[in-house]
Amino acid sequence: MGEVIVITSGKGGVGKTTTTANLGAALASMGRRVCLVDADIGLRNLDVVLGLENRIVYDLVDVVEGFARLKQALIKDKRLESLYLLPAAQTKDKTAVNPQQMQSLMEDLKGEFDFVLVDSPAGIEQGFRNAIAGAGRAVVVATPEVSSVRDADRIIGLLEAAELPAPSLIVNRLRPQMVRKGDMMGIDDMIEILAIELLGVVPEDESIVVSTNRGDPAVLAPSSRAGQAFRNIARRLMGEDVPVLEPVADEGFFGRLRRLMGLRQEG
Amino acid sequence: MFELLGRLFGREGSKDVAKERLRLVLVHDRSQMSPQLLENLKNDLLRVIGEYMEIEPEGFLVDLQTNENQVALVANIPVRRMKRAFTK
Amino acid sequence: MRKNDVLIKGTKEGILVALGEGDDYLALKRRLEERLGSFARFFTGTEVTLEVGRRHLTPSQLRELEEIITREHGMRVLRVRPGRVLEDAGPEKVPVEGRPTGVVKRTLRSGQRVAYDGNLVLFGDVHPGAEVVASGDVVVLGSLYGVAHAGARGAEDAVVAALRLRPTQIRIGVHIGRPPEDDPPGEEGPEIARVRDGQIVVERYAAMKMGGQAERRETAWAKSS
Repeated sequence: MGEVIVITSGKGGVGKTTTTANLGAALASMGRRVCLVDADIGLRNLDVVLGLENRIVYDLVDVVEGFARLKQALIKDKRLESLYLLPAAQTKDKTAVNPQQMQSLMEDLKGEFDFVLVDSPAGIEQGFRNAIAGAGRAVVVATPEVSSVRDADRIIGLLEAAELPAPSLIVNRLRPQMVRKGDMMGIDDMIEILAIELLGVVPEDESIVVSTNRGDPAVLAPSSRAGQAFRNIARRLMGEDVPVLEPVADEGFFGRLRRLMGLRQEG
Repeated sequence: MFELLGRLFGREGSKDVAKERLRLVLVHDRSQMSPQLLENLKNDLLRVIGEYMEIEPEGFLVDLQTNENQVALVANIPVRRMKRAFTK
Repeated sequence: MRKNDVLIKGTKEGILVALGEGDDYLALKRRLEERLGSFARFFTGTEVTLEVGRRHLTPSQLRELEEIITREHGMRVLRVRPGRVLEDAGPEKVPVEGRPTGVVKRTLRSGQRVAYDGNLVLFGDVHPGAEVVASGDVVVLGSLYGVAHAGARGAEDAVVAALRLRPTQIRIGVHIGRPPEDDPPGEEGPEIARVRDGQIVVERYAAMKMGGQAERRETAWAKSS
């Protein structure tokens, strides 16, 4: 029996979809059977991030309404054998599905996959309630910005109210350079404020933009720093004990030069 | 260079500003009390304060207020008459 | 509903005859006769909506089923609905020889869908995430980036044409095609997609007009699972 994990954040644009796609690809590349569920009905995106948009025939709403069987709607990834996508509908809205239907859908998926990752829509309304229905565990994605942390706090409260086990946190788009200068909240700051368990840290990485443009998850590129971070998080989801390392800033040529010359101004 | 000067003179990085603002806003967010809870608080306060002074229940107001740097529990309690001694 | 089963129920719009999924046409036909027979002409004179749903019927099969309903049971088939495939029609009607033709004058954005029982001509673009569906041909006088479904009731001879054909996916009848994974950006200019030997192929429109074999640039599209 597999595990259903909802990836959520409250605020939009913090990287939920990227996180879902990358964790799914990482888990599948390690041999797990994974189904990614796009719960953002009416604003689907997970298909594009995975480069599978032109393979969609049936979607989640078709399955829930009984127009298609689950197996017909699941799209097999073009790179990874054990990765599947259940796409959201685009021409309908979130009221097309209710939490009870989602819950029974998740029950079905749990029987087929080791991991079911649900990409939640932004917001706290029905789309969010649909996404968490049937989830056994929640992961909250937040960037080190006041608006994102504030919304994450709200979401954590709602997850508690929904009686899910305590969620864990992925800090996304951390810029070590700015943290070092004291101009961005660091991991300790965010954990202190949100008071939840840290699942992982993903540094800001331009390779994410490139891989999203191409529809290829960054975890599949060995050199991507964000990809490495997602692989570590995937290991932790599988129960491995991988220590969380705070990313260090790449100082660049001048940084190294200054240090060599003994001119570095900060410790 | 400005950064170095700022550091020497103890200018706080914008991260500390962010943390402080967040702490404040979260106290407020988390304290979104339901009207029922606020009513309970009001009744408890009435009972306790009533042991010391006679108060006007109609004008009794309890609210959480946020200003620039703190969240405060603000109560407006019209006093009708002080009691001479604590009688219990 | 079980496979190849037939459901009959009363709705606000009259009697609904819904056909179940499956590919055994004869079993379906038998079931329809059985079900209607059990009502012993009780419904004579009533109006019927025939819900084809996700089932694929050839035009002659559809005609046969309609005849069973009308001739043998004295009901009137008011409309035929391929389930959700053509549910939200609504463009203005232009009478044309053969199939009726609908004309839509707007650009479809992501999440928008236009469907028409007949040929559909769209003056505008179809953005990624938008859908045009027709039981006949789909002609886009603009750029087609989204999904187009021609012959949505099973017509294999239907085509999809666009001034700029860069769709996410094309469906014709029961065939589904998507651009080859390593599709070079293709030539500019109008193109037309049709079914040839059970596969969706794309050709330049100009070549077709001149009927020249030499100029035909055919790209076979990947079949989508």
